[in-house]
Amino acid sequence: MVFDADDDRALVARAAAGDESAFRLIVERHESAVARTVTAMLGPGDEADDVGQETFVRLFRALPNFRGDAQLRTYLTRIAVNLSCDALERRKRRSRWVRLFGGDSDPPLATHEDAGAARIIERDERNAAVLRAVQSLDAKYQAVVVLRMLEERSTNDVAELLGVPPGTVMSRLKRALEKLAAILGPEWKS
Amino acid sequence: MNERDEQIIRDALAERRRDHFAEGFSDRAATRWRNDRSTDALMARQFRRLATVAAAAMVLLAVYNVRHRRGEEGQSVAAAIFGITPRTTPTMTIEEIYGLGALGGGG
Repeated sequence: MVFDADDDRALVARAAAGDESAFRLIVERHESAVARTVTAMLGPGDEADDVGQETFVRLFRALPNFRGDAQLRTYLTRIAVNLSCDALERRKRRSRWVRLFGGDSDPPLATHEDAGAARIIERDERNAAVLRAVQSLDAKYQAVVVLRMLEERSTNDVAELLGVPPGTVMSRLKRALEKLAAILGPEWKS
Repeated sequence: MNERDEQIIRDALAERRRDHFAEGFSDRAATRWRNDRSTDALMARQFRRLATVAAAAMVLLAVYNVRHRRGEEGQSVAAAIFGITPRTTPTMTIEEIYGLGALGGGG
């Protein structure tokens, strides 16, 4: 869905002045874009919900830095990506502690309740292995994998979202795919 | 990594992606936004910012003090960190204290 940038600017101005209905309208308009980015990076759940809420709250804290000419959606996506990267770093630190004290280091992954058929189980296992491999990457690599491969954004678009040069995006993607191939080598063959 | 492998990664990531957060998201976000705009939250944020700057300034000052420690005057590292300067007591004689030198001149 395409929204009028002028409408967005007017809503932001109203919300910045304390109009809660304008804030709610902004959330309703852009929830989908934020949800897609955040859940692609973190998976669905409370953590993603928390990052989603914080994305909209941060928008208003960062308003002095918001250039009126930029699309609000792009700006929100940038905040969402940064907060998701922070959450991934925290998750990694937590899992390091859990490993240190002998707990289960694998993050919980979504499962199918009706996964009766062998084909579905096989696909689920493969997807779980892929997700574990992706989650083992540093946040900066995960962000590039999600934005380039899943959201199919252009290199320049990803560079703008992450605040890095396009060359860095390309090198990070290459490095991420090499790492994934190394981790998943046996999985691909099976 | 070939096309097929990249597609497998795409599929795995796409499976966990959602178009919406759980129901009531806008209510939760609005509540958080309201709380964030409260005076208490604003003050807490300002305090955190100030406290960070103050802590950084203290560390810089401590480093400066340690680098300029007056070791020959007996200033310890701990004293230097807190900026405690060594006290140098002036040497005086009893006559000087009671001003006897001045009195004895006439007699």
